[in-house]
Amino acid sequence: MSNVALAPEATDVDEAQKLRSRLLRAEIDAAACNPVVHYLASALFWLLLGSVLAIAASIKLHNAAFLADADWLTFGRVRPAHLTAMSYGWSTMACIGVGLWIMSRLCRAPLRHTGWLHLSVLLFNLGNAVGVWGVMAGRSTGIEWLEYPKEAGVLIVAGFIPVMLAFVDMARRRLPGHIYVSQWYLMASVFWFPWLFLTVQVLMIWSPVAAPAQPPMNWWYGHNVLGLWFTPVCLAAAYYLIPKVIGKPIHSYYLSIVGFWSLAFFYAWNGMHHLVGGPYPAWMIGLSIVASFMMVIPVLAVAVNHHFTAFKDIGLVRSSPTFRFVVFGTFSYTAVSLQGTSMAFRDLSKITHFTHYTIGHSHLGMYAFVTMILFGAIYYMMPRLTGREWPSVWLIRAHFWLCGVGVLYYVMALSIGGVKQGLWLLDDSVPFMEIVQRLLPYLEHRTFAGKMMTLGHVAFVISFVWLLLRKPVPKSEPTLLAKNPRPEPAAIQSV
Amino acid sequence: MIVPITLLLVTVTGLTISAILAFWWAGGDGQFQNLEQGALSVFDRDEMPEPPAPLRHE
Repeated sequence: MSNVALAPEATDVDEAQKLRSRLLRAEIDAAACNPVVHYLASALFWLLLGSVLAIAASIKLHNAAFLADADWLTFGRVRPAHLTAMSYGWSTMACIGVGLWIMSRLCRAPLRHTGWLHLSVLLFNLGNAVGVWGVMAGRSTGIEWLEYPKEAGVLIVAGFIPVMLAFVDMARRRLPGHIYVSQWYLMASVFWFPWLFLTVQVLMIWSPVAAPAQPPMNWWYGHNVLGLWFTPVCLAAAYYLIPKVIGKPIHSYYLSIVGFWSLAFFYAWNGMHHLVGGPYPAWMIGLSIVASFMMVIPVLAVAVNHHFTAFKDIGLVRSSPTFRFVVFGTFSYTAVSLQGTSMAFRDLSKITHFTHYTIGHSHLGMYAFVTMILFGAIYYMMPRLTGREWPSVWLIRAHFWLCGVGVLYYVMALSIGGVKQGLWLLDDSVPFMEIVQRLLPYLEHRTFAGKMMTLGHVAFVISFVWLLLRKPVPKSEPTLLAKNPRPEPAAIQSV
Repeated sequence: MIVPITLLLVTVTGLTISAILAFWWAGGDGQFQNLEQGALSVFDRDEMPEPPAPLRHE
């Protein structure tokens, strides 16, 4: 009897809570809109610039006369300018934008003091501009992943401080209860990145340590910036977006926790496998190889979780742009991680080290995994942040196919070419110049694939700018690539 | 060589120790209990997925 009497009141309370959730979400999106779009728009500028620099560098590898007259366009300047613009301009700024919004949504805490975040965007943009300019003017430090001159590093560190404070502020105001796995990854990454960056800035740029100690330091940073900054942010995005799009929870929360903590324990010890065969104590390299093998644990935990969850409703790849990009990214993560573990072993490293295979591997990680997930996240976020829908299905399709096919083509060309290169280099009977000649077709394929990806980026930037120029229509239908096979879950709607 | 290698190891060990401390805190805070609830914490109240249909014999 009492149950019957309570039922209407319980429903009212439930409805009120649901309404409160919707209003809170709208408040969170309104607070995040300006700073996050500022980050993303800036990131896209660096993506375009980095793509142009990438094509120039790629062409130079098979056509040495290309742009050879200007000293600031030589390969030794264009290539590091591409790498750093993509790392600190595109990927880092997009990771911050995506991370801020997801953290805000999961903590149920609107961003505050957004003026500081706008200042952070300006500092990042200034740092990247000074850095790219410095590298192209010939003032590169010559240290891989850290080519920017020292003043650019200071600006980037300064730009990251408001980001850290914003994350801490959101975590402090989070609603009580479980911390979702994405929050674990995001909170850890915003502390890991400045720790890594500041350590190498001090020990390699401002007060350089003795020369023999620099390569271990360099690869400690070079490897960890991938695994403890870009990777956690993108895994956090995938863990957030897949359940949201399909409207079902992740396959195993237990595994997701195992994945996070094993990454935290094992990843920091990986970097030295880049120096296999180098003049360093065997225990240092050996420890790093063991840690690289241990990475199988977090990788498989994440892979099982992402793929099993996605396969609960895999048909959505036909209709949802977000899901399509994110699923592509998660499969690439599994592939690149297992490939990375195998490359740490001495036998394989002997062949692939110092070859184009490594470049293919890094693009499988930084592009097919990181960049594709960031694209997917941006497709999900922008309609919610701005109240505007993506204007053209055709542009989204062009973006996906050009970038997806482009990066796979790129990785295939460099992987095949790289293994052949490694085997030829180990063969004393093949002259070095002949190896250079034999590799030219693979490098031409690389340029072609790079042009495909760049065209995809142009399509995405047109979409992004077009969306911003549209009138807000809060209750419009989502832009899907095909008719949705089933009724929309609440999570896929724009509000 | 000794000083930078020591610094490097201290930093790596620092990362590991901070991970252990965070792990310790998470355990004390109950983050490793009732994991089903943790999986659902990604959804807001109005987004909660429908519970799965009961099996035939239930």
